[in-house]
Amino acid sequence: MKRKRRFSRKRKAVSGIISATILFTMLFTTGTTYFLFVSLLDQQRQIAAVKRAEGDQLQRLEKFDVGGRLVANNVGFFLNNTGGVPMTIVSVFLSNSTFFKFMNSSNQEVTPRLPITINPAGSLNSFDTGVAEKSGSLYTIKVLSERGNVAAGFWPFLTVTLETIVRAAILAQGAGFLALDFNSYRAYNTTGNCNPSTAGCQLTPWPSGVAGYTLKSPQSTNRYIVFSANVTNVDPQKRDLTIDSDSVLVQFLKPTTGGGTARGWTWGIGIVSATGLTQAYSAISISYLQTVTLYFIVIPSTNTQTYPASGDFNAVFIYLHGNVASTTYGQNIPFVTTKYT
Amino acid sequence: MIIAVTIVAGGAVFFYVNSQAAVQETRLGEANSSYLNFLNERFVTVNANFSSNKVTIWFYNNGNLTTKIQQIWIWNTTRSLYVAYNSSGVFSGSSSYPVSLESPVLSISLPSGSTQKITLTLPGTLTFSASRTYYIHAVAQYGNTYTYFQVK
Repeated sequence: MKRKRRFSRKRKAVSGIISATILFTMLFTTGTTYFLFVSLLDQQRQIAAVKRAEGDQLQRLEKFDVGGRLVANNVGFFLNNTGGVPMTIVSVFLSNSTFFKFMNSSNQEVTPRLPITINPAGSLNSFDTGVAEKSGSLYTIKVLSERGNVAAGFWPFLTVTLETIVRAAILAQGAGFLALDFNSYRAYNTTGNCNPSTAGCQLTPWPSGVAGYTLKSPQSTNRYIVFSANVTNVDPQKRDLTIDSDSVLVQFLKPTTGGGTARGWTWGIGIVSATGLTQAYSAISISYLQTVTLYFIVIPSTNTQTYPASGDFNAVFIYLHGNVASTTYGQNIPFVTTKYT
Repeated sequence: MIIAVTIVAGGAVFFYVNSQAAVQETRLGEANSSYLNFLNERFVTVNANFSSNKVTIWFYNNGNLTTKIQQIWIWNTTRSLYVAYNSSGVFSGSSSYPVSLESPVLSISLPSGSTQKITLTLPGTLTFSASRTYYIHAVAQYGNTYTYFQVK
């Protein structure tokens, strides 16, 4: 019995178990590897999808407004972060009908340098593009954020306010398409009493000038005078206006008691650069709701002794001529008065 | 003997299964990679500057990887102008034109966080008209698209 039991113990087959174990291990390893690989891919897809969704969500949460403004006589803008997340400005596009400029972190002439990060409810009060404003030109400013959102603004502002509508109703229907800002009537002398009819003559005090209602008479100061006023295009048909070189500012002397000889003086329209230098005349284009400053620099005579004298009290008119859309345009604006002391 | 037979037979099965798994893993990996690139690729068209027969288009990459702008279509509302640009040429109607109308030639590289411009010239006598709306449809390397429109 003992011999038989020993013999049967020797014959017990374990090879099948070992083989099955090895085979199972091999297949299990392959299967597990495949399963882990598929799981890894699925995990990567989920992470990427979550990041994409986060990016889209943040892009939707990001909101900002842009408005044009002048910064040291350069075209600039302000920006308000009205969204719920911090935003970063990476690029700025500035253009008008004849000009285009792209700005990013490599542009050193801009202030402050890009990129600029602004917190929620925060503001960028001024961004200076380093581009001098050309009078009469409408600039479009596009701001690109790091998340790919774009906001646009304009300089000068294009906003339709109730005041603008009222001014259009009162003035444009009765007087003409250009509305004058009475508070903008300014007067300048020239540096070194340079003849302002000459290009390159510096106006002073620049840019503020002085109010033009009461002035020292040129006869007493022996200095040239240049006048300026702001006008806004309020054409109800929203057309562009072009002012030509026939436009003038005219001053008529108040008649003396009991009558007298009528006298008047005329200043021709001109162009002044953003830094206050007189320039050769070129047509001034004014878009709908755009406000531009008109300068009347071409003097009536090179002899300042023929200018208004002390005590003269003059009525000021602005005669405008040019084109509106494809037709000619003319307007006479009774403006203000100037008293010479 | 049984062990040897089992190992040989099992080994054959193992290598077959392993090779099939490798093929599937390669396919899955490629599909996954393509999908991940699609998710990570994002871009926008920021601006377009029109002249009489040219347009300069600005793209910004707000995604997480470098991509390429592969194809651009431009059309107007009436489809009287419909031009396609890619790296092999420019196509309008049944006519084709050389890639010299693209500067730089598509496909242009657009690294993450960067802005890139491309100037496209209209073929033949086609021109952009003032006050008309033009649509610009761009296709990037991994399949994302962006349609932008602007009035000249």
